[in-house]
Amino acid sequence: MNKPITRLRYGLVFILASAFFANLSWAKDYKVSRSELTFLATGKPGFIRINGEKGEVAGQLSITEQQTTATFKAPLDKFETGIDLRDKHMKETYLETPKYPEATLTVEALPYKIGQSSFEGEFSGTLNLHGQQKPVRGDIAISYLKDSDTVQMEASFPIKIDDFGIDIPSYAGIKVADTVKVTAKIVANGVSK
Amino acid sequence: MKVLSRLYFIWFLIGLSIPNLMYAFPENVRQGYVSCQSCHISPTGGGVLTRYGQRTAEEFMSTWADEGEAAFLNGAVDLPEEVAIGGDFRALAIHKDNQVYHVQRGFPMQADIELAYTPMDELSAVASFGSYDGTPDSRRHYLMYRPNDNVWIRGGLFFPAFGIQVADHSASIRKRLNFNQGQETYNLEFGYISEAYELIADAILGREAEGISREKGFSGRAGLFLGERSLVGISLLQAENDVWKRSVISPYAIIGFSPTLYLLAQTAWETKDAAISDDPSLPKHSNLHSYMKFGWEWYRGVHLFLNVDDSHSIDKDYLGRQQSIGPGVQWLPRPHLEIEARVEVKLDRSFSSKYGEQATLLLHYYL
Repeated sequence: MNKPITRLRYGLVFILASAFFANLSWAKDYKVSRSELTFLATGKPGFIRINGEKGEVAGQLSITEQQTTATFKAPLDKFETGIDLRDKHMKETYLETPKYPEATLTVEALPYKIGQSSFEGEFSGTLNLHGQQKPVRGDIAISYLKDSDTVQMEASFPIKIDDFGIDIPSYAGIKVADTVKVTAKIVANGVSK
Repeated sequence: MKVLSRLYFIWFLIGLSIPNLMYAFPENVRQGYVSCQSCHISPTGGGVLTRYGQRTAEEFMSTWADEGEAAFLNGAVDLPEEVAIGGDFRALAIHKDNQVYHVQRGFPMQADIELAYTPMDELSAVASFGSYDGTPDSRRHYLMYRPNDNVWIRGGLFFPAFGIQVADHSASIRKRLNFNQGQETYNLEFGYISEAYELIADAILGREAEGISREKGFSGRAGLFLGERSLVGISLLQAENDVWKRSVISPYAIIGFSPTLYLLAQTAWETKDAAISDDPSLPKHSNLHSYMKFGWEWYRGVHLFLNVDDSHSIDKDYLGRQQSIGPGVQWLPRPHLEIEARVEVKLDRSFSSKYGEQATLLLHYYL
């Protein structure tokens, strides 16, 4: 009489374990629904703050039980610094947006796992800007809102603009510092497969 | 345009007989210009503009501008790169109605020319020329050594670094703190600026002029840049002349709430004592001078603002209370030109116990 019951128990354990592990192996994609992309450059002398605002990001994160990878694209024409002439110079002379209209950031092997409520740490990735591809590193903070299946992310990283073949901007005696800080705030929603 | 050109010319001629002041736009902090030295040769602001400073009129300060219009003489004369010429010419129309005065008049208020020669990036020589009551004078002249983007040392005649140094020389934080026009002193200044803060120290060496012995002592200003468009700081001054010795501590702030909304605020706590002790006519006393300007750039080049100024003695009624409050509009229609209209309710207890009214119209041409 005991043997069938034992077999049933093993069977149930097996089914539950399978379901549990199957659940862990889920991977999910999240598509960017809202974003805010800015940069901060400094002009010398006088340490002028040049704030690039109104940038946008499109892209997708792929989150598994082990890691997150992501690809983001940003149209460079969207940036505004508050001064029209400066924007014109930035886009036409330095970023050459007609030739290189967007920048792409690929984030590799970020140790943020699916369902994890929050994460703070460093990320590394590859930035394709102005036709040049270079590694970048920065800080990232992620939080997950379970109810809305939403990932919120804030990342910042420095870039050296001459690494990307961009001339150091200078205008009427003001020279922009080589290092520019980029900050992205992103909200991404789960994609049903 | 012909009429305007003639008016400018007449104004220019009238103005040349009147002395110059410093003139600056600290409000530009809201646009990320946390330090004066991007736009002015003087690291503490005012006076001759850098080439970039001139272009800012074209880029974002004036309502309208043609390309090259902001350059010296609208680009008609191409100056060598190492030479900069600046100058301010201001005329004022005033209506004053209080217990003592019922005045309506117009007069040229200031004018002079300032030359800067920068033979190499590290070295600048600056001198202003004008006249005061018909007497030729130089209100500012100095030599400056700037070994890099962070450090400068300068010596000469100029205002020591202190507080905001607003353009309005009648503000209590200027007029009642000995930063009024013509009160420049010889100083030796050391300054350091970084992305996060600035530190400026001045040894005030005094000035013997017009029979008045100017103060000697020292002053310091420390400013912290907050975020992308604000700064807060504190200034200290310890100085003495033949009559008074005084110390001043003065916190200040320039807050850019947005690229169009801003606040300038400064308070100065001044303690004065007789330089020669036991002089009963010069009692020890403390004064508080406060200034605030709240502004909004409603349209490019058009600023609506509210000024509040208050100055009084704290422990003794040694210094007559002065108060003023009122709105104004400042318009920078084209590069080189500024028009400002202001209405104020004013109190000056030195000669009246009642509030009066004042309206001013300022015309300003800068090179």
